[in-house]
Amino acid sequence: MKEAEPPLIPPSQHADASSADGTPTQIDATAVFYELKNGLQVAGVGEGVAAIMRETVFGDGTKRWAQTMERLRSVIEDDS
Amino acid sequence: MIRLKAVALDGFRGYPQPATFEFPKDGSLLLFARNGHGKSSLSDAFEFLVSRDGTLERLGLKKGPTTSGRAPLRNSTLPEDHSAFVSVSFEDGQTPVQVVREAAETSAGIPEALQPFVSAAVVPFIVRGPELRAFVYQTPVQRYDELARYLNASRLSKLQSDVRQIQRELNKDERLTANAMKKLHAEAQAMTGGFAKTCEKTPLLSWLNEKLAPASIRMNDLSDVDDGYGELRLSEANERSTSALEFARTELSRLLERIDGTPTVETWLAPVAEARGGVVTLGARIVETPVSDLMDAASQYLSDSQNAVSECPLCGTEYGNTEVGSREGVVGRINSARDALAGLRSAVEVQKAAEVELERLGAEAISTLVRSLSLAQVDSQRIVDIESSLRSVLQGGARHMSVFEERATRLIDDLDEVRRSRTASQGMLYGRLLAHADACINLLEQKRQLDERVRRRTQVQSDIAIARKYIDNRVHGFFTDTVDAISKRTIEFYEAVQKHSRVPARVSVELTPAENEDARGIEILIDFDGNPGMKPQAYLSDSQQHTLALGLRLAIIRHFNRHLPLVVLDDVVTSYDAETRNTTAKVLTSLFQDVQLIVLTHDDTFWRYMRTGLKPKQANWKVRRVKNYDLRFGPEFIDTKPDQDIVRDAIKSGDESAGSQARRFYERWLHPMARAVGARPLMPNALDPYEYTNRDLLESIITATADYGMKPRLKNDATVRQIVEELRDSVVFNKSTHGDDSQDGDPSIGDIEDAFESLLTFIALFRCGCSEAIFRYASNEVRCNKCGQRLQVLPSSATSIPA
Repeated sequence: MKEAEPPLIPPSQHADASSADGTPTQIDATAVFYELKNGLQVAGVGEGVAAIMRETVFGDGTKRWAQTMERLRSVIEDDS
Repeated sequence: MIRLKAVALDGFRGYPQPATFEFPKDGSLLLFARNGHGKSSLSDAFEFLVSRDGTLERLGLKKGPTTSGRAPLRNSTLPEDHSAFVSVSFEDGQTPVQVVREAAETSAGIPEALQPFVSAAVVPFIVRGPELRAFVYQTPVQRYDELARYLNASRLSKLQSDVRQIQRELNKDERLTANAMKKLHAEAQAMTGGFAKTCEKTPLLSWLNEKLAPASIRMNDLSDVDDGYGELRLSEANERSTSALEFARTELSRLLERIDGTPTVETWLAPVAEARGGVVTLGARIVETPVSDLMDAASQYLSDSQNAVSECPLCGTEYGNTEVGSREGVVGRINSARDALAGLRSAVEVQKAAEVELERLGAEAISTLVRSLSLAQVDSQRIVDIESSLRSVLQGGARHMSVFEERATRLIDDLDEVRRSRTASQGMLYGRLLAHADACINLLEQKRQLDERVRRRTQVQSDIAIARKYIDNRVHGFFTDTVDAISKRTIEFYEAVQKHSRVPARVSVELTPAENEDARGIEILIDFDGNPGMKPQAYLSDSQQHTLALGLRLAIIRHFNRHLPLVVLDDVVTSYDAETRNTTAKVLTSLFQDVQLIVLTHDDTFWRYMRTGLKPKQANWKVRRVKNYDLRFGPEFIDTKPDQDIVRDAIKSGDESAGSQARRFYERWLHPMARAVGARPLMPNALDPYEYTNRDLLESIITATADYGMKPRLKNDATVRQIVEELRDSVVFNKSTHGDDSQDGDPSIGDIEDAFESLLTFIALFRCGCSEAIFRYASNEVRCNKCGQRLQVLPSSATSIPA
C-alpha cells in the first residue's frame, strides 16, 4: 500500500516535544524522510536523477537501491 | 517522567516464592548476592518487563540451536499449575501504576498499563558485564546505526546507506568503463600500428618503406625524409612514383605533427580517419602507372579496329584477335607505324624517299614503344635488346614487317605479365590499407559511444553525490547534539573512574564529519601519552576499556531514557582492581543522583565500597544482601534496614511511609520464617500479590508451627490468640503503600502502630533457648540457626522482642 505523505514539518519541530530539556532525543523520521524526498531538486540534484530517486530510493521495498540502479543504468546506457 | 516504586518477582527465574524490591523516595538498590543466588534474576525481570515478546534475548521465542524459548522464565521447582509473574509499581508523572506481567510460554504481549514504562525505555537499561564492551568494539558504522535506532532514525540511516550503495555501483560501472577504455586504447594502439609507433624510428621506417615498396623506393634512414628526397636514388622512369613519394612524405609530415603530443585514441585514430582518403589517393596514384595508359589506349584501339583490320596491310598476312588488352596499346602504335608504312608503299615509285620515311616512322614507332616499355618498368637491358632487334628488322624493309609485328606482339605479352603482377600486389596492399583504416574508424566510433556513456554516468554520479551530501548534512544535524552529549558524559565518567591511572588517556567520541566520504560513523578514539587518534584497544588496559564502555553505555541510557531514569548494573566491575572498584563506587553514588540505580554485584569488595559511599545519603538507597539460596524458597535476604526502632520512630512521627516500612519489616520476618518452617503460600490472585502473600503466609506459618507448640498456644494463651487474630486482620495495611489510603478506608497511624506491636509480640513467640531469632529447616524440622535447638512457640508471657 502506498504510504500517505505527511505534510512537511519544519526541522525545529521534528524533536520530541516532550523531552525534559527540549533537546531532541528522537526524531520524526517520517517527516524528515519526506522533507528530503521533496528537497532533492532544490538541493541541486538533476531532474532526471531526482525523479528516479523519489520513485525508488524513497519508495517502498527492500531492494530500493537495486531498483534505482536499474533505472539509472538505463539513463547511462541511453536505453530510451 | 517515570519513577520506579517497586518490583516483585513471583515464580520468576530464581524466585520460586514472591520477593519484593522497593525503592523508597525514588531511590536506588544495592544488592549483593553470590553467583547463582538470584541476583541476575532481578535484571532478567526488568528485561522481561520491557520485552516486546515477553522473553529474554538469550532465551529467544522458542527452542532452537542456541535458544530455549520462554519456558525457563518460570521457576523450575514450581508446581505445574503455578504461573510466573513480575509485577512493577511506578509513577508516571503523578499517576501511580501497578501492573503485573505473566511469564507464560505464549506471550500475551505487553500489558497496556505497562506501555508507558516500555515506551520510555528507548535504550535497554540493563547493563551486564559480558555484553558491555560491544559498543566500543563495534565499527563506527555499527555504532552509528545503533544510535540511529535509538534516535528513531534507522530509516534515515538506511537512506544514507542506500545512496552509498548506489555510489558504489556507479563506481563499479566507472571501473568497468575505464577498463573498456583501456582495452580500446590497446586495441587502437595495435590497430594503428605505424601511427601509434611513430615515436619509434625503426617501425616508422618500416611502415614508410612498406608504403613505398610498390614504387620500388626504399629509404635507409628517416633523415632521407627530413633532408628532402634529393638524395633518394630515383630513376627517370619513376617520375610518377617520385610524385607518390612526395605525397607520402607530405602526409607523413602532417601525421608526425599531429602525433606529437599526448597519444590518445583521438590523436591516433583521427589522423587515420583523415589519412584514409589520402591512402586511397596514394594507392590510386601508385597504381596509376603507364601500363594503365597503355591499357586505355589499347582498349580504345580494339573497339575501333576489331574486325576492321584482319590482316597486315603491309604484307597481307592475316593475324588473329588479340587476347590481352594491353597488346592493343602497342598494336595501336604499331598501327600508326603501319599506316606510315602504307603511305610509303603507295609511293613505291619514290622508293628511296619512302625508305627514308619508313625509317623515320619506324624509328618513331620504336621510340614510342620503348617509352612505353620504360614506363611499364620493363627491364632496361631488355628494352635495349628489343629496340636493337626492332631496328634491325626495320632496316630490313617492308618485307620484315611481319617479323617486326611478331616480336612486338611478344613484347606486349611481356608487358601484360608485368601489369598483372603489379596490379595484384598493389591491390592487396591497397585493400589492406582500406580495411585497416575502416577498423580504425570503427574503433573511433566505439570511443565516441564510450565517451558519451561516461559523460552520462558522470552526470548521474554528480547528481547522486549532491543528493548524498544533502541527505548526510540533514541527517547529521540530528546526530550532532546526541553524540556531543554522550561524549561529554562518557569523558566525565571515564576520567572520574580512571583518575588514578598512571598514564591518563584523553577519550573522545566523535561523529564522522558530514563531508567525509563515509559520514555514517561514530569514532571512539583516545589520545594516549601523546599518541592521538588511536583506537581504545591499542593502548587502554582491559580495565580502562571496560570503564570507557561502561561510561558510554551509561551516557547513552541517560541521554535517551530521559523519561525513565533507571539503570540496572549487573556485575559490571568484575574486571576491576580494588582501587578502580572504589572509584567506580564513588562515581556511581555521587554522579548519578538523578538516576535510579539498581546495582547488582557478587563482589564483596565493591559492595563494601558502595556501602561506604552511600552512608551520607543512605535514605535514598536500599541495601540488600542475599545470605543464602534455597532451591524451594529462593534467595534469603539480610536487609540492613529498616529495623524495628526505625519503624517505631516513623510511626510515632506520623511519617507517611510508616505503613510501608512496617509492612516491609513484617515481610522481612514472614518470608524467612515461612521458609524456615516450610510454609509455602499460594498466590491465587497475581494482580494483588501483596495482600494474599502476607495473610496466606501467616496462616501457613501458624499451620506449619502447630507441631512446635502453636496449637496449645492458640488454645490456651489468650494473648497469642489475640495477636494472631489481629495479625490476620492487619493484612489490610499492606494496601496503604499502594493505593489511596483515605478512599479505601485504610488504617490510621494508630492502627498501624497496634498491628506492628502485635507483630513484634508474635515474632517473639518463636524462640529457642539461646534467643536466636533465625531458624533453619533441617531434617524435616525447624531448628535454631545458632544452637540447633528445635523451634518452640513460647507462651506470650515468656517472650520478648529479639534484639
